[in-house]
Amino acid sequence: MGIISEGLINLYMMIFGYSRADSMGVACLTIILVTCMLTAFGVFDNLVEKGKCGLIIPTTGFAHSMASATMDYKKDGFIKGIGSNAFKLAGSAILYGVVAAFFFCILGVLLNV
Amino acid sequence: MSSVRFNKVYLDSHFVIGGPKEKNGKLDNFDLTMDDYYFHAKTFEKSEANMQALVIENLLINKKYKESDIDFLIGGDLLNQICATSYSARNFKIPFIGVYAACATFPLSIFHGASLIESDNAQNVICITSSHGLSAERQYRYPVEYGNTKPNTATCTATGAVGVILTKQKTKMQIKAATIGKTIDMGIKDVNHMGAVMAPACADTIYTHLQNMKKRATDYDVILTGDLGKVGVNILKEYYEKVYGSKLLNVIDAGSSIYLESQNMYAGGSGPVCLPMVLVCKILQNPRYHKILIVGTGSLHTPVLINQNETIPSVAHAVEIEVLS
Repeated sequence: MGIISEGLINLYMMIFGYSRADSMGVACLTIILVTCMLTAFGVFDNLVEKGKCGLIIPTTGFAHSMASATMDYKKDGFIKGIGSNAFKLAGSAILYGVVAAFFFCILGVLLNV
Repeated sequence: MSSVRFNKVYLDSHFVIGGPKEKNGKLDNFDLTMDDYYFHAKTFEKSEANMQALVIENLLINKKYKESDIDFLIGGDLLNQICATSYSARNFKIPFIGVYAACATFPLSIFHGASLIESDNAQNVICITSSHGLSAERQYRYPVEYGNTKPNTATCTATGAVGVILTKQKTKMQIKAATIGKTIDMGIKDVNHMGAVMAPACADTIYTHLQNMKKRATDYDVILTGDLGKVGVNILKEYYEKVYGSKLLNVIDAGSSIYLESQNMYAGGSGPVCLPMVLVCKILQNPRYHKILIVGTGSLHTPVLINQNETIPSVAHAVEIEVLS
C-alpha cells in the first residue's frame, strides 16, 4: 500500500506539478475513492482476505469500513439506517483519534514543540 | 429426568432449501436451492422469512394438507426476536410456538412437537428452522461487505431452511426419545471459537442421554452433532474421552459436512439449519443408518453481553430417530 501511495505522490508531483504536501493529500483521496469503489463492487473484502493488514491500514481500512457499513444499512432507511450506522466500525477511530489529537496538541503547546 | 421417550411420534415429510454456497458444497438432495442470497426479497432478513414461508407452503402442498390439518407450527432461527420465523408464520393460520436455542433450535422444536403429539394434544406438527449466512453476519459480526477475516477456528453461518412434519400416523422414521441438555458455561469468551464453547455441553447431553436410555454410544449407527466445526468435533471427542472415560467413534459433525475444502469456509458451517440439513440431505438418504442420534449444539450468546465481557453459555439437545425397515 505504501509503495502504491508513494508512486501516486510522485506521479501527481510530476504530472500536475503539485508540491509534495498537496500531492500527498490528493493521493490519499485517490486511494479512498478507489477503496470505496472496490467495496461497492464487492471486490475489496476478497482482496482483504488475501492482503490482510497490508491492505487495510490505515486509510483504506477506514474507507472500507465506512463504505461497507453504509451499504449494509442502506435498506434500513436514511436516518435510522445509514445515518446512525455509517460510523459503526469507524466511529471508534474517529472518536479516539480526536481525543488523542486533543491531548497531543496540549502536550505540544506545553512543551513548545 | 431430562430425557423423554416417545412411542407414537413419527417423522413424516421434509423440505429443504439450500443457499448458493451449500448448493456448491458436499450435499445434494436439496428440494430447492437458491442462486443468490436475496431470494426474491430486498433484504437478507426478509429473504430468510421468505425461505421459511416457502418451506411451510411446500410441506403442506406435498402432503396435500390444509392449514387446518396442522395443529402447531413450532420453530425458530438465529435473528433477534426470532423474527424470520415469526414473519413467515404470519402467512399461515396455524397456531405458532416460537422457540430459541441458537443452533440447537431444531431438536428443541422436535422435542416440543413430539411431546404435544405423544400427549394426544396434536396430530400433525410442523417443525421449522432456518438460518441465513448474511443476516447472521450482520447481526452477530460485521457489515456483510466488510468481509472481516476470521481465525481458522471460526465457523460460517449456513444459509437455508428446513421444515419437517411430525405426525401420529406411522411412517418409516420414528422419533424415539429426546434429551434436553443443561446450559453449560466453561468460561470461554472467544466468539470465533464456538466449537470449544459448545463441545462440553454436547458431551454432557450425549452422556446424559446414553445414561438415561441405558445405551452405549456404539448402539447408534451415527451420532450427528450440530455445528461444532472441524476443530470443535475433535475437542468433543477428546473431552468426552477424558471426562466420561469412553470413546465416541461414530460421530459426524453436520457443520463440517456441508462445505468443500476448496470453498474456504474456515472450520465449517454453523447455524440452526446445519443439523437438519445434513440429517435430511445426507443421513436419512443413506440406508446404512438406522439408529440415529442428533445432537444440536447452541451457543447462547448475544453480542451485547459479549461486549460487556461476559462468557458464553451453551446448550445441547438430543433427539433419537430410528429408521424402521
